[in-house]
Amino acid sequence: MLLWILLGLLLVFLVLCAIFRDLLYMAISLALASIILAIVLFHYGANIAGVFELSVCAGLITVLFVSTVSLTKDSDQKVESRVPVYFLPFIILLFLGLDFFIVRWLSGTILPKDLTQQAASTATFQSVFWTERTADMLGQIGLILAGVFGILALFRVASKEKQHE
Amino acid sequence: MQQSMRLFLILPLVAAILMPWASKLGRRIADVLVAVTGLGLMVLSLCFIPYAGTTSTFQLFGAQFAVDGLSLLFLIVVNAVAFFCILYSIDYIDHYGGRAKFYALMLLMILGLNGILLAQDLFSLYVYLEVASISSYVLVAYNLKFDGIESALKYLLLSVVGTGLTLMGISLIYLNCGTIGFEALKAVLSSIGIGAASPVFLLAAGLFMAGFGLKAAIVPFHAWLPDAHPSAPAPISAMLSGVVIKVAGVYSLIRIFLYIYPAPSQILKIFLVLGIISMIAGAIIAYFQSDIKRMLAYSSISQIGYILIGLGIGNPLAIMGALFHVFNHAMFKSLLFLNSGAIQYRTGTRNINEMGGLESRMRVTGATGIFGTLSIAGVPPFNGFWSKLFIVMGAVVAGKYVIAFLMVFFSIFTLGYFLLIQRRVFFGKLNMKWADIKEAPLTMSLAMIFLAATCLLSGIFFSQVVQSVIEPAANLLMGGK
Repeated sequence: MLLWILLGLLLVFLVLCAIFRDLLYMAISLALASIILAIVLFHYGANIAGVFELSVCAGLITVLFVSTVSLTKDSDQKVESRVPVYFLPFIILLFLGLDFFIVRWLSGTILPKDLTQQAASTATFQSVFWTERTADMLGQIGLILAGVFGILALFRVASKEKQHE
Repeated sequence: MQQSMRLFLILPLVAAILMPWASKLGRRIADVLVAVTGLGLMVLSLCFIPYAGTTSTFQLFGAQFAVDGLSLLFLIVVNAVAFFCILYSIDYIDHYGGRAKFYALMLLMILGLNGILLAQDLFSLYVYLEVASISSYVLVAYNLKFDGIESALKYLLLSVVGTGLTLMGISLIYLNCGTIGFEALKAVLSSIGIGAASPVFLLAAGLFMAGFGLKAAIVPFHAWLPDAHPSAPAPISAMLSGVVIKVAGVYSLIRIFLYIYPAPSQILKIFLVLGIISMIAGAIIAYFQSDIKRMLAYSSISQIGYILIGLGIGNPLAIMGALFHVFNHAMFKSLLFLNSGAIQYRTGTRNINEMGGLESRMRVTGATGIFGTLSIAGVPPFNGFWSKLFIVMGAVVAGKYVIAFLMVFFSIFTLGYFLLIQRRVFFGKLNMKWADIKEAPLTMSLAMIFLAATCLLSGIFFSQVVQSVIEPAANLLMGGK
């Protein structure tokens, strides 16, 4: 039951992320959706996927997003077309339908179940993060730095203008 | 020696972190830091040539990385082109501003590319792919003008689709094999006897093909490339075309489909078909472009087609030709993009119709441009001739005469449109608008001269290049045959 609630909340926050006009609310919705998705992944024993969902998506992307938003002035916000929002429910339904059929097809074709169960059951958050996936730690540092330098580079003119004001 | 391999990852990361402080100490300190890092990485990659036939592993923060013949070839390409682009940037980046940020992002892009080549599992490959990609999105938009930001956004959106598909492919593989490590995966796939016939593996193969195909800008996944190249600063266009599409796209495809997967014939046929389409479509569309960088971008699509054809033919000669063409294309296409950047730097335009007679004012750019043109067209003794010859010979040996004919025809076609463009840009009557322009600044000219020399020397001494770097990589893919 808890799982269904989490999945429902995940869908709600993702839809909200697409509907919100304000970038800050969008970023917060995305962060909440990422956290819920990570919980779902941990629930299924997919700790590696959970770790990366938390560390990369919820952590990095949201931090970058909020930093970007905080650098944006109110006058920069533009009125967007609402047409995509009208199509959103149909796209979600289409996606859910496709998802259902693909998952059903895959569940019938996946072969060595013992291997996946073994991989899922032995790993913990600590072991995955600090021992199994250390190769990616350096990459994640690179990702964060690329995001930080990226924001600084893209806002370099805006900062200069601000100084003149 | 193995321990020094760590520097491929540590050097660019540390230099990127230090860059803001170096920049505060003075502009020249930042220039020296980035140039020394670039030079160090290039020299380091060249130092490993004697070990090309072996696989060396090393540990960094408890994680396992490795260099084999295939990754060494690409490491040399990445770090050599990166050094020349860094050298070029020293004078070029003046009119963009944000020097330290530009250098830091470029170093992070190099970190990502080196990480892809040293990674030992699919997920690490994906993580480092993202490092290189995020840096390159920002670098494409670096001019902060509408066209740059628009094309960076297009590049970002299409890439996100590509990396999403790749991630789904990795998930499917993990779900079915319980591992994503290259060696373990290779062992599992051969032990459980799953070939391309399994629908799940075919689906995963399709996802990888689309995901990495998008990164490699293979037709029909090429839409981002002709927009991203013209808007990006010239050294970034050179990096994108010379290195990024090859490492993020071609290397990943080779690693998965010719090293891990048991090279199923269906996949090779797809390589062949996509390669032929890319070669033809890229060349024909390039002919009709009036924007010099856009023309070079379409030409890159065409040249990637040659590489795919070589891989698709699949015999030792063709694979060797394809790998040699990876090296050669990186050199001559980077040179041509740097040439176009020098022209734009002085004239402020990319429109070929507005140029003319520039050779009398920009002798180094004009001369090196001819070197690049003759290399890309496959004229002997330049390097492009030998790699194309190997692929054509591979096609003839495999009995694929039509493909061999098409490759020769489109090579001549390439020579035709490149010479036409050279004439319109550098020769003929000087457009009086450009009467007062001068040659590109020193470091920009030096970078072009080094690349032009590489194109000529690697053509003259092709047998040494093939024996020392190309053959070990090809042997690895052919299973030591």
